Amino acid sequence: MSEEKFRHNFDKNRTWFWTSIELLAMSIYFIITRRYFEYPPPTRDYLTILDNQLVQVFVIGVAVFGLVWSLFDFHQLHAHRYLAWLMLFTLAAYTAAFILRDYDLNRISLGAIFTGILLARIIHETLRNPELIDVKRRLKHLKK
Amino acid sequence: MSDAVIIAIAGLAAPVIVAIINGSNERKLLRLKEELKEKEDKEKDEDDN
Repeated sequence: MSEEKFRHNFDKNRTWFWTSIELLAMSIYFIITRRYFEYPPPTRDYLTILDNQLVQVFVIGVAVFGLVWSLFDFHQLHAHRYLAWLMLFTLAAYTAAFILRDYDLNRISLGAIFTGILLARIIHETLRNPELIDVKRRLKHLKK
Repeated sequence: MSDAVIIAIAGLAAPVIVAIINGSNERKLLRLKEELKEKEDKEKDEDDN
């Protein structure tokens, strides 16, 4: 792949690239801090699953998939759709976990805000359909 | 156990809802494209006549 094509893909898929970086940073943070959902108590047992290193490997895998897709822009096997679904699944699960933890501790954490906004951004990006807007605009113009 | 269910539901609900809306938008796009093509052809015929 030429450098020009690489740069073009990076510019075209910049939202997915930086979202993947954010997801990667989040998983690295979880690996470094460890037992994030365990302390301070009270602890919900099932939330600690999200601290598990295997789960972190999955999150890193999703982030790396996002990075590779955004730079190479391949469309085989509906890669883009699967990437969006995987990211939505991961972030929705973490947002729910953060909200549950905040509810227990009776406070609002930066994690809940961060993942919530990230989730909203991915939902927006996934639902965005410029072609539909363009067709609607052209139809409206024809009707006049 | 209920915590795990909440997380699983939240995790699965987001992609499923988005996929349903995307599917609906795709169908709408196809329908509108056909409608647009018909109208453009009709307008072209009227102009030719």
